[in-house]
Order: sequence, then structure tokens, then C-alpha cells
Amino acid sequence: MPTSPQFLQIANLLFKRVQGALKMKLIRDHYFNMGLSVQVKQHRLEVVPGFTTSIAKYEGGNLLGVDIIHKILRMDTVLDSLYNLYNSMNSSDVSAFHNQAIKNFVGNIVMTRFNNKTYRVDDIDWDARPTDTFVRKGENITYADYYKQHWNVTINDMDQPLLLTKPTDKDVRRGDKENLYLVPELCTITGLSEQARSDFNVMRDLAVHTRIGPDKRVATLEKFLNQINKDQEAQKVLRPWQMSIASNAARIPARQFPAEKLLMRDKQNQRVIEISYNIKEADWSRNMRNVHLLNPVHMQNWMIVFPGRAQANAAELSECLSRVGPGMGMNIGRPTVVELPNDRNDTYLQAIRHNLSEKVQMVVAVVLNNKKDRYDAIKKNCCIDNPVPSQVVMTKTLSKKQGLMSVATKIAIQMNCKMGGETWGSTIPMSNFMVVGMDSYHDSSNKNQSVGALVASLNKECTRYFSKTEYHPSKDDLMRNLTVLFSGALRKYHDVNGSLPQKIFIYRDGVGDGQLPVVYHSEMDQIRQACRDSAGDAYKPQIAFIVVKKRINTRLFSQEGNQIINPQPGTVVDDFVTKSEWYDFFIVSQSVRQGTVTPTSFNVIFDETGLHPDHVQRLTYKMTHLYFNWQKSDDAGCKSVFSAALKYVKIIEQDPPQRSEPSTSSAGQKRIAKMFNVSDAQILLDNIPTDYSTCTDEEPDSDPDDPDFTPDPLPSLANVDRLSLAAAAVDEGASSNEEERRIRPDVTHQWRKRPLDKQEREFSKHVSIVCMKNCHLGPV
Amino acid sequence: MPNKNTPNGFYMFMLEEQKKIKAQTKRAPSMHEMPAICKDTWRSLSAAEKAHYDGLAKQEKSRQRGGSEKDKYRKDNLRQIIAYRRDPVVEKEKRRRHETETMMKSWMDSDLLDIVFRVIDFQVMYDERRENHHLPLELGMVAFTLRGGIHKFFHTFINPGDVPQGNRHLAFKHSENTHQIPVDFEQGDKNYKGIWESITNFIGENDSDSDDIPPLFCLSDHTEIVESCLDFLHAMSGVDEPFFLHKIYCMEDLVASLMMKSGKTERRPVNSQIHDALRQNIWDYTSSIRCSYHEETDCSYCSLSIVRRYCFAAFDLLSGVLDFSLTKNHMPEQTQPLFTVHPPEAFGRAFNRGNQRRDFDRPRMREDSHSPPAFRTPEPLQQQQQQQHQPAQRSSFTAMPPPRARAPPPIGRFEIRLSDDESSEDDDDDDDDVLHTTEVKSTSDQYHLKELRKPKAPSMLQAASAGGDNVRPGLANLGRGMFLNMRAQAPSAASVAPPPGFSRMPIMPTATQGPPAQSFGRGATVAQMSSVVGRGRGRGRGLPPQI
Repeated sequence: MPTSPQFLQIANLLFKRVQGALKMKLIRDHYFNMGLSVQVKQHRLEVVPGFTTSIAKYEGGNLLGVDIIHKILRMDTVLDSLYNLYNSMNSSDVSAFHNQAIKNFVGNIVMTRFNNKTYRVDDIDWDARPTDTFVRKGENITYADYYKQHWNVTINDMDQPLLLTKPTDKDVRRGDKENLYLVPELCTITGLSEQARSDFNVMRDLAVHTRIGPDKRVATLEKFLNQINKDQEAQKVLRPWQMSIASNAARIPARQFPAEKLLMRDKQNQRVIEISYNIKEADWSRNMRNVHLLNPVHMQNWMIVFPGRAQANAAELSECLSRVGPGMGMNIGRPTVVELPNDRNDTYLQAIRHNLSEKVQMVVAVVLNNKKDRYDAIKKNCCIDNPVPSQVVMTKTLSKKQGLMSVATKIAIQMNCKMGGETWGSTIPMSNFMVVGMDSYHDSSNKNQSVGALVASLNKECTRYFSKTEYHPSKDDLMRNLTVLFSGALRKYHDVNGSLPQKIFIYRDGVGDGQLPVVYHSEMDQIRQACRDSAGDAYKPQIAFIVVKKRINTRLFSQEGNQIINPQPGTVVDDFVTKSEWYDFFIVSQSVRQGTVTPTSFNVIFDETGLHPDHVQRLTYKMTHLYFNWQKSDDAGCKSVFSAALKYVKIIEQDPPQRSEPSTSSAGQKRIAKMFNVSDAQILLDNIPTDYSTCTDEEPDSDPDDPDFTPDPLPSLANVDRLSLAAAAVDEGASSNEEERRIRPDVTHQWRKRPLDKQEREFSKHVSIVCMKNCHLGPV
Repeated sequence: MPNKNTPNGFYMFMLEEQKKIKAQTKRAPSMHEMPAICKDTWRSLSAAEKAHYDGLAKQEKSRQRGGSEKDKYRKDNLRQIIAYRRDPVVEKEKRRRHETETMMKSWMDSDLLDIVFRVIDFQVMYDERRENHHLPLELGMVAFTLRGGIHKFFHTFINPGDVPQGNRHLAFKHSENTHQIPVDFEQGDKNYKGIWESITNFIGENDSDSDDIPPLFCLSDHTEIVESCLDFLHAMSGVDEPFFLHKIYCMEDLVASLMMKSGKTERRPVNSQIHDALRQNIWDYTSSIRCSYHEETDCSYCSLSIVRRYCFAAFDLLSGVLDFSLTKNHMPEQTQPLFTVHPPEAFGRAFNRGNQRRDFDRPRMREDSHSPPAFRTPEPLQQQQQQQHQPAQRSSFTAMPPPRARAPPPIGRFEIRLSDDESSEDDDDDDDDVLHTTEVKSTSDQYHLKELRKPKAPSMLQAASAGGDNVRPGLANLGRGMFLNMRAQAPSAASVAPPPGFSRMPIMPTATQGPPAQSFGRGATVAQMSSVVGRGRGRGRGLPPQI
């Protein structure tokens, strides 16, 4: 089997030619089947199906990965739309029409049908006509003549203005520096307008075509492969190379994790109990109705701010919160009710500032719409100027009467997190470890700056986190100031636990395959530096560096009888479609009602923890359950970590835009930390008499920046022992204890994935998985 | 393959040795023999000595290529001449250092607290890397001394003409993301000559005796925009004086230098620290400091408000270091917050229904719901001002069911409470209680009630209206007369219908305008002043005349 990179390159090129031979049209990077396009007449839209393909070397050999993608085009040309607009304006004011047209069309991406190229409209030249001339190869030629001669397209309307598009950076580098003129008659707008995107009917009608279920997806893809194998033209391309493509998707083995156990608190005796859920749904909102949150925080002193128009909504929210709270163990008291005469930003800010006291635990702001600047203003105020946890709720979310209780439940959980409570914990039979999530974010409005965020778990249940952000210049994803963030995390971990973590699992998002070595070298160095800085040379934690990818084209399907369905949450694939030189695996962690589920790819690029791959996978799966805004397992492992980090990054990011010396921001850090679910704002648990209290009853705020801070005496060994005992006691049944026993530091890790031993086979159920990534490709 | 003939340090050393030997023995060993002779000596040379020969080799290499003359034309892979290549970061750093030095020198013999500083900011049509020009849409300038605070300001919208073809998309996007000024803004001023004169007047006012052009300050990441915009205005104004406003300094350097000058800080603060401090967003949406357009659109990207915010932040930073007290010219005018605090009992049915069990010890919000000061507080306002505001707030919300208007102090300055406030602590639904507070207590309150009966009178109008000076003598310090001078032209240009063909002309004919700005001296009469205010640009806000 040829495996050289050149072969794969040629194979990819050949496959593009095959698609070309099947009369498919190339738009940007992908081929689309114009003949199979579906018209959604009532919305004047057209959905064109296409395929994204790539051939690469996997453990199962050279495989072709295929997935269906869609392009949405408008059925009208730009000229039609212009006429429609003009007729609908019912005033003969030309300049008003011009302005409206510019507003509607400038900035859109249009496609010219004759060559399927896309351009962005930068301007409309009202004075230009198709009869105008331009210089081509030293000769003057009119646009109309050019299109006739060159593309054999006739332009009917000679009285239309022309669209103007500027060359892209790439064009300029190539030498095309002139503006291009396009004829509206030949252009169609691609994509959906903002208006259409928010229109529920349009989205529903489109979803019929774009959101394809697993059975139909497999059928379509297999049909496509059959077509390639049968089509004469396609075979003409492939046969001289003696290549063929398997016509069926590959069947590969996979394993299924059982439903995770979540730690919550019993209603009656306040003991920590485990709850489980239906694995098929991966949704435990029903299972947690009769239990309390792991560590609820009573919300006695809070403030609700709302504009006069939203008074009814705010009252309902407040009422619902007070009703759902006790069910979860959260006592929600009466709020300070602040009504605003209008919904201006300043009114909100002043109201919050004036009513805020040291005692206010939470500010709930009800807003009428999702204006970004107001949200930013409120969050900036509540994160930076007057640090207080805050929750912004849109009236739209509160408008539906029947769903209000569940909305209130979710909001209450979220607020519990923000105030430093814990919602549910995971049962990880290991101690002295830290899970770290890292991601970066680019703000479109601030081009030359990116933000990196880091969150690190502080306790065994992974419910409390440390967080910190940094700024790095330029657009790349490398975090430059990681050392500071990481030493902060280590210091905090030490403050809380009295010891440094032995094992550190780093989940890193937002890294492409090409960047792996760069990221590894730059960030691992910084992390090691941080370890040295904070604990000296002797401290050498075992580190695992795992790269997470959420947007991937790999799709997994499960086959039950003749039916092809989405795989259940908890399905793990670590063979055949994985790279032979990598330690990578896929986990399906979410359940979708509509369409096809997307698995998440995890790639362990460095591991010295000595954990068995299976345990790394299991840990990752456990981490997917800890996204507290959602009572379901999330789509990406450690997404909890990322989303929490990024949410605040986005707000805080615009604020101090060039914080290149993060050391200056210790105050800011405290503020930010206060905002986070967990981390610095610790929880008082003295009134809850359980064996679990030992792990959390520290000082309410043990922040080293605090002048009143006196360091705790190190937790005694007895405490630690009790902790692990508690964990062991909670683990019910032999299987979990066995698991505990099996996670030993002395298990040497093998870089190659080895076949599972018998024990492990029992541990996880095998399921058969169909993967579209898998069509054999090789010489006939 | 490396070229074997290119000299290296060892080669240069050998040449030199060869010469020495020749001088001593009259016979030079051939170059083939030389390595054997020299290698031991070479190895024993120190690094510095070796570096000397390496330098010689470098010179030799350059000579072989054609010397420094030819180096001038060597290009890198982007076809830029290497000799001319500059690192913009280093260049800027150099420039800033130089500017700081000249600035510190110019302070030598004057009291720091009385030096006039001017801050400028432009909002531009778009900020695109590929376009190396900037078109101004809005201009905001303030002048301040540390002791007196902000004493004058200038604000105008600018109409820079049509959007350059092809950049409309950029302009739309930039406007949407930041300043919200539409592309064809009707308030935009096209009288570039007038604007230019206003700028020069604004700058030249205080130091007319000296020839030295005072610097303008802006944040370090805005210097290019400000320079480019001033260039544009100068070119469009058609005045024949040369462009002289080339001193655009970084405000971070100003603040850092002032801190250093105070002698209280030993280490110069890091620029980015000051940058962050100056850009703090506590006043982002403060109503009283924005221009009327941005007040209306509730947008924080207002040049006028931006420059003021920088100044407020600078005052806040420096007042402790340089020992000056903050007056109301140092901080934004406090607007009365517009909110009503309802008793929670009247809110939500759940509470009425009872659930007595959960009757938590709710803290009494009266006493402890005042936030700690978020920033250094200016000296307390007089009671009079508090009372002025009080009716405004009450009367605007009489429609609400239990209108318990509350005016808690935002920061320490509103310590004075109305007498009946305490007594109404416990009976929440007493509407009479509210009415008491609206009773007219002084003439200024009467004035205010009159104001409030006007349809939709925004509170900011109070200062701008004709009687403003009578009501609040304190505001005279704001140097409004100065400002009026500035604005004498522009509003009239906006209100007078343009003569035919006007829009084509870059420079306004002066026939339809008021007298040029200079002729409005400091001694302008009250009548003149109020007439200008009446035309609607009181303190930079385009309000319609109310009287």
C-alpha cells in the first residue's frame, strides 16, 4: 500500500478530478452537485448539496473521508432583488433607494453563476453600466461584449448599475490590484440574510434539507460512492492509476462507556449520593429533580434590575426562581427590586452601582434584546468596576409560560455556579491531579490581538476552578504568557489542597494539525517553566497534553439491525480511523434529536502520567459532564472549562486591550476570579454535616491577594485519607473499586495503542460503528 | 554550496599574518601554507580579537558585493530596499522617547499644575490596514490644567465627502461596530476652513505670546489616525499657512512624565499600565459627557466623551501624586440615576401567597446598599444641586405603581437626604410620602419644575438653556464662553440652507455665516452667548432651541 505523502497528494487531486468528471461544480474548495439542488420556493432559496472529501493515511489504511455539506443560494439574482427593492420603496426618491440598496447588498457574498466564483460586494457603482468599457489585453471592450465573447452569456438589461468588489489580500499579492466590476444580472447572493436567519420558518424549512439524519446521510454517501464506481467518466480518471474506491462505509469496532455517575446531595439527610441517567439521552435534568445540588449557595441578598416594560417578566422570573430554588437546596430570598424607566446602558449601570453593597451576592439584569454593547457594559461593570456575580436574562427567554420553570432551573444552576456553589461533581477515582483547559479567542474588531484563557480544577470532583486570562499579539493561537497563568493555577491549587498536583491533564482547544509541534514546544516549555518557578526543580508533575478538536468532518454511525442511527453518547473510537502515529481517539459525548451527531476528536500529543489510554478516555468522558449550564453531557470534553473561560474572556477582552504584562493584573484577576463559577470565591459548608465537608471547608476566601489572608495550616494527612475513603465509599459496587485499583501510577503507558485485555473488554461494551471516514482506497 | 572565496575571520587573520611575515622576511608564504602557520595562534585568540577579524571579513564581503553604494539597492523578498527598512516598533519607541524629553524640558520653569494640556480624538470612517489614509467623521478636543480641570472643549462632526469608491463596506462595518455615525451624516460639517480655524484657535488661545506650538495628546495607538486626520483637514481647508500641528504626543507618556516629575514614584510606570488606566470604562455610558448624537444612540464611541474620559482617568491617577484636589471640572457631572426601587413585597405573586417559612433575614437595603466608591470622589456637591435633581426623578415616574423613588448616594458625595426619607422607611406603599418630596422648596426648584414640564426635557438641557448661569453659578467655570467662540460658525453653517452648488465646494463661502471665529472675543455679551446656545450646540450637543 503506497503511503508516501506524494501519493496521498495525487490521490486527493485525482479525487477532485473524479468529482469534476461527475459534472459537479467547484465552488471555493468543495464540489457541489448543481443538478441535485433543491429549491425552497416559498423563501426563494436554493440548497445545493456537495461533498467535502479528503484522502489520508489512517490506521485502517488509506481512507477517504467524505461528508455532506450544503451551500445556500438565493434564487433571485442581485438585479431581481434590486428591482424588487425599488418597486417596494413606493417613493421615487432615488437617493433613498440607493441608500437602502447599499445597506442591503454591500457586504454580501455573491456568486457569479457562469464561473461559480464568489466575491464580496464592496460598493455599488450607480453610474456604471454594462455598456461601459474596460481595458482587456490592451483593448477596450464593453462588459456586455466581454461576457458574450468570453463566457457566452448575454446580458439583457443594459441599464443596470454595476457591483464593485475590491481585490482580496491574496489577489493583491498575486498582482491583481484593480477593483472588479460585476454585473448584478449574473450574480446571486449566497448565504442567508440576518433577517432570514432569525426567521424560524425559513430555518425550519431549510433544516429539512440541510440537517440530514444518520440513515439518510449514509445512504447518500454510499450512493455517491456507487456513482463513482459506475460512472464511465469517473472510471476513466481512476483506471489509468489502477485505483478504486470501496463502495461501502467501513465497519469499525468501538466501545461504549456506561452512563456516568454524578455526585449530588440527598434531599433528606444531605449526604452525597450518586445519580445516574439514561445513557441514550445523556440528559439528567429529570434525574436531578429529587436531589439537591452538591453544594448549593443560598441566595438571600440579590438584586433584579429590569426596565419598566419587562416588569411582568422580571416578577415571574423572581417568583419561579424562588419556587425552583428550594427543590435544589438553594434558598432564594426576595430580591432588591430595581425598576428602570428605560433600557439605556447608563441607566442599567447606575442602577447596579447605586444599589450594590458588599452583601449583594448576585445581580440579575433582565434585558429586552440582545444588544451586544449593553451586555458588554453590564458585564464589564460587574466584572471589573464593581465585582459582583451577574446574570443577564433576555425577556425573550422568559416569554414562554410553559417552559419557564425549566428556564428558571437552568438559570438558578448557573447562578449557583457563579456564586461559588457546586452543582454536581464527577466520580474520579484518582486524587492529586489537576485538569486544565486552555483556549484562545480572536475578537474580530481587534485584529492584532488575541486572548488566551486558562482554567484549572482545584478539587477532586472537578467542580471548582481557577481561571486567568492573558493577551497575546498577532492572530496565531499560541499563548505567549502561559507561564504566568500556569503558575497562578499551581499556586491556587496549593492554597486549596496544601499540595501540588502530581498529575496534570491539559486539554487544549483551537489547534490545527499543522500547529501541533509548534504548540507542543512553545506551551510545554512554558508549563515546565511555570512548574519550576512555583515549586523549584524538584517538582516534576506528570503532564498529559491533549488537543481537542470540535469541528471535524469525521462522522460516526451506529448500526442496529438494518437501521443506522446516531451512536449513543459515551461511544469511543480509537482504532482504524485514527492516525497510526498519533495517540488519538474520538468520543461521542452528546445526543442530538435531529441530524447527525458530531464526535469530538482528542489527540494526546504528550503523556507522562502513566495512565492507561482507556483511563485517559474515561477521564475525558467524565469531563464532558461538567458543563454546568447544561444538564447534559457536552459536545466537547472539558468544554465546560473552555466555555466558562471564553465567555468571560470575550467580555473582559475588549476592556484592557493591551495587557501585555499580566503581572499587573492581580487585582483584575481577583475580580475575574470572583466572576467565575468557582475558583476564588470559596464556599462555606459548615452547616452541612457530611463526610464530604472536609474537602471544602476552608476559609471563605483564601485569596493571597487579600490583606486579611492568613495561610491555612496545611490539611492534615488524616483529612486527605478521609477524602479518599469518602470517595471509595461513594463508589458503589465492585466495578468502581476495581477501577480505582486499576488506575495505578505504575502502569507504564505504551505509546502504541495495545489491544484491550479481558478486564477492559468487560469494562466497556463493544458496539459496532459505521464510519463514513472509511472507504478503502487502493490499487485494484 | 557555499562560495569558497568569501572571506571569513580566519582568512582575514591569515592575510594580516601574511603581510607581517612578508614585512619581516621579505618573502610571503603562499596562501596554501598559511593555515598551518596561523591555526595555533588563531585558536589562542580571544573572542573579542576574533570578532575584530570577523568584522573585517564582513567589510570585505560587502566590498566584494559592490560596497555600501550597492547595498542601497539590495532588496528583500518583498522587494523593499533593505537599507531603508525600518522597524516601526523601534521607530515609534525612539520617537516617543524624544518627545517625552522635549516635553519634560518645556516644563522646566513652570508650575506643573497650571500648564495647559490639550487632548484630541477623531472618529474615522474606517480603520483599515490597507488604506493608508483616515477620513475624520468626528472631532473632540479638550484643554485642561491639572489644578483647574477641563476648562474648554471643542466638538464637531465632519463630513469628509463621499466614501472612496469600494470602501463603502468598510465604512458601514466600522460605523456599525464603533461610532454609529452614518455614512452620509447630516450633522457633518463640510466647512473645513472653519473647522481648521477652530482647531488653531483652540490651540493658540492661551499661549498666543509664544511661538511654540503646544503639543496635542492622544493615546499611543491613535497617533497615526490623529495625524492623518489633521493632515486631511489642513489639506481640505485650503489655508495657505503651512501645516504646523506635528506635535502629536502620547498621553501615556504625559501621565508617566508627570508622575515622574512629582518625585513620588521612583520607577517610571509601564506604558501599558497607564494605557489601561486611561482607557478604563467606568464612564463609558455616562450621559453628561457625550455629544448629543451619541447620547441619543447610547454609544460610547464619542470623541468628545473619549477625550473627557481620558482626562478624568488622568486626573484620578494624578491627583494623589501631584496633590491637587478634584473639583467638578475634574469629574463628570453627576446625573441623578433614574431608577425606582420597589418593595419586594409588591413584586411577584409568590411572596404575596406567603411561604412564611422562607422569610429570610433580608437586609435592609437602605443602609447598606451603597457601593463603596468606585473611584476617587470629588468634593461633595451642595445641597441645592441635590434638590434640583430630586423632582426630576420623581415626576418622571409617577405612572409606576409604587413609585418609591430612591436617591441613594452613588458615592460619598450625596450624603444629604431629604427629611422625609427616613420616616418613610417602613410604610412602603404610602404615595403621599412621595408627593411631599416634590414640594417646591426654592426658586431653583421652581425653575426645575418649569424645565420638567417641557416635553421630554433631558436633564442635560439644564446647563445649556438660557437661564443656566443663573441657576448654577458653579458652571461658569466651565469656560463655556470659550467654547461658544469655537462654535460660532459651525452651527450656523448647519442651520443655513447651503447656497446652490455648495455641496461641491470644499470650502464654505463665508457670506452666510456668522463672523469668523476670531472676532468673537472673550468679552462677548450674554445676549450673544445665549443666542448661540439657543441655536443648539450648548456644550457640544445639538439640541433644538427650547426658549
